[in-house]
Amino acid sequence: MNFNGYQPKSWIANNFKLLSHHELNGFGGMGEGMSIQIAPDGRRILWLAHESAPKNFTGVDVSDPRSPRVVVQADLPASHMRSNSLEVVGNTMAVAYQVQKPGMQPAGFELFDISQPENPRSISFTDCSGSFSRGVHQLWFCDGEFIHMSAGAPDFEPTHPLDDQCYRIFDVRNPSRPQEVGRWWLPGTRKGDGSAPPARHTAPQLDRGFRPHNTNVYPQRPDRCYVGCIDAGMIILDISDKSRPQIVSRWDNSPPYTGFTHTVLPLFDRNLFVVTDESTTVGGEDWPKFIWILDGRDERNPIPIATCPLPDAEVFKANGRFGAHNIHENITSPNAWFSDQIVIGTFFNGGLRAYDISNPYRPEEIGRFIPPTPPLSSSGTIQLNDVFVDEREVVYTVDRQSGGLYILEMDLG
Amino acid sequence: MIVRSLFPLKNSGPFGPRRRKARGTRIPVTLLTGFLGAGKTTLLKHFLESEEGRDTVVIVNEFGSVGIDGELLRTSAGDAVLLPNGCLCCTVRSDLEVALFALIADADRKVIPAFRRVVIETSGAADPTPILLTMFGSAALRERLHVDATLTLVDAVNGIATLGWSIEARAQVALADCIVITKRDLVSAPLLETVRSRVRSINTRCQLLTSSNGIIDGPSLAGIEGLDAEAFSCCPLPQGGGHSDGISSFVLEEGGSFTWAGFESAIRALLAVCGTNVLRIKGFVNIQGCAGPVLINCVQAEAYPPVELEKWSDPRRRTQVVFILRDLPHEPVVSLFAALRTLAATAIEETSEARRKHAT
Repeated sequence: MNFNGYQPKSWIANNFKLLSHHELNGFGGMGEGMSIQIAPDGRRILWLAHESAPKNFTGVDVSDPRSPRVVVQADLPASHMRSNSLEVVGNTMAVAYQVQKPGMQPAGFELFDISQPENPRSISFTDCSGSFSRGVHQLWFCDGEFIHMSAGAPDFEPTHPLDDQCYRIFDVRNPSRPQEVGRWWLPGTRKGDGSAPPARHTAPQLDRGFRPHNTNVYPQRPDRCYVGCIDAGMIILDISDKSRPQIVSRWDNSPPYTGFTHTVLPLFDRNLFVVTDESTTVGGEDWPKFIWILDGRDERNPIPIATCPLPDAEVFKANGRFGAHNIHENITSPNAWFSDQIVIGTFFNGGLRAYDISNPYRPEEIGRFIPPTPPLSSSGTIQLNDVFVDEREVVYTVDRQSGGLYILEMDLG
Repeated sequence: MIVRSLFPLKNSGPFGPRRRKARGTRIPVTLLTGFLGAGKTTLLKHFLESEEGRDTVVIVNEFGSVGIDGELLRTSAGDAVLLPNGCLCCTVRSDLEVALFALIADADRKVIPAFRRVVIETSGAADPTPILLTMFGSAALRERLHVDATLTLVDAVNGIATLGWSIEARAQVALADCIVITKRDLVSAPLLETVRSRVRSINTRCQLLTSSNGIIDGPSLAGIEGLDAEAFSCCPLPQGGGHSDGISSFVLEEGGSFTWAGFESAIRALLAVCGTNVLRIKGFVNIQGCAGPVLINCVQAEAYPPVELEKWSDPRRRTQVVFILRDLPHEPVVSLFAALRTLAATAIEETSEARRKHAT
């Protein structure tokens, strides 16, 4: 294994200051679910989804960000599962379950009552397994009423095995009995939908699938779902009729880029979209993976106007993944920070970086945090995977492999 | 700015995005000055060895004056010594502005480690004004660097004597945002108080601290900001300035708000008529249409663009602006702004009266 290249041996921090670091009892491989609960007793609990088995989720008391404490760490029932995604509204937590191969079980999503954080109580489990389904990869839940997710279904047979998940909407106003109320897929990706399958990405682009990843819905526009649709690019859906989502627009940068559009963050008051592509290969094979800034004055025709500058590829690409992935998504929650000027994102071995987009034509890096290589890192480098900022402006970021949770204070002007 | 109208920011005002502090995310610069033997080297070495001093670039006249050892580098800016803790110490023989840009470029190209602070150490007998004029006058430098504070050290043992005979020492004190009386452990309490009073007679508004063995009794060098809103409002209000070489200072304090057009015009008029007599203008202004205080920061005729902060630390939202003048009485300056306020109030009354007459 080649461990040459960028391996920070010490902390690199500019305008971020480390408050604490917790390796989560040795299970520091973290996924893309990060959400804050203010428990009935007043404690602030950060709920984290793990990237893979054996752990499901971990609850960390971050009331004092300098002294985080694990309060609960749950196991997955099977080693072929991963949770990877979760969200909390009030004292209800939704957790996604995906399996390694279609047909495996259990796969779907589970709702928990976490009013006693030490004892999460299952309210319901919704089965999304099936012959062609790997379950739920990602879910979005912030209004307490509907969960928007990227998921397979027992009755969804894709035209290509990589297109095995679609956008599904579940009504969870009765959390004991979630009900699917809507579904959308890229035309041509479901057998029998009457449309021609999409042309696959071919080398040198990578074929990762025409399926949704993040499916964000904001109360400012409850009639819109903003989809990072992997190899289909960015898609805006009209969900005013949840039973029949309709495409409003689509922006696709690949080819010539290498696909895997991951997240779409609308900045409504500024008429901008922030779009990320995820790096999914090691060694910089899929470089460059950007955070894009799009002019969204006409949602039917979003126009790219800038990218957030990446660090030097030659320095970073040797080890692990390098490039964009997750950003702080301004999720609507009293416990989440909001900014339409500063974008904070994770870049795997490029660390955590903050950008000032007050001039969206010229994003400027204004902060960075790159921890040293965690012990037991299988790639020999840090792989920061996700970030969440709470309303106190405390920054939480996690490593994908073994580093666990890093809690930061930011000084971004 | 056109971009602002196309993609407006929620948290912005007439002067652009509101900021937490004046510096924003620019690299802070501390100007460290003080007469020979005041203890600059001791304080600097202590700072560079601390955690907060990591990744600092220090600009000095001569390496020998600092007495440091490290790996010698040749940079675009000139000779430099790489210190432990990621610090870089370099000499600048000619143009400070060029040297600073060269350092920024070298850091961007990874010729030298990235730095997050600059400390410019002046020679003992130097008036800091030319350095400040360089920093304030270059729009390109202002984009990357921000002068956080002029920090002046005064020797408690010899300070009274030095301030008595040295014009440069008095200038260093007059222009200071923060003064540290060093070697406080070597003098008696009454003498320390005498030094304080002498310093205050020259600079009535700055933060005044003490130190011993290079350790400041209070914030570290990194924590000292010249326009920290809370510290500014907590500093004692001067009752008219002292007089030393004709240098005096006063604070313009107003309860009401100004229009920016009016306030800016008054400043321009003052500088146009007697700009060479104005050494420094800095403070917080209540400008109509702004939610937070507007910072103004000028060195003679050079100024940082005004910046609106996110919020007032003073709930009374009082304008407080320090004027440091040379050979210029402060009464006409005060009258200038008082006349501005009166005219503005008269105009509002006239407009209201005219509207009432028109309505009837």
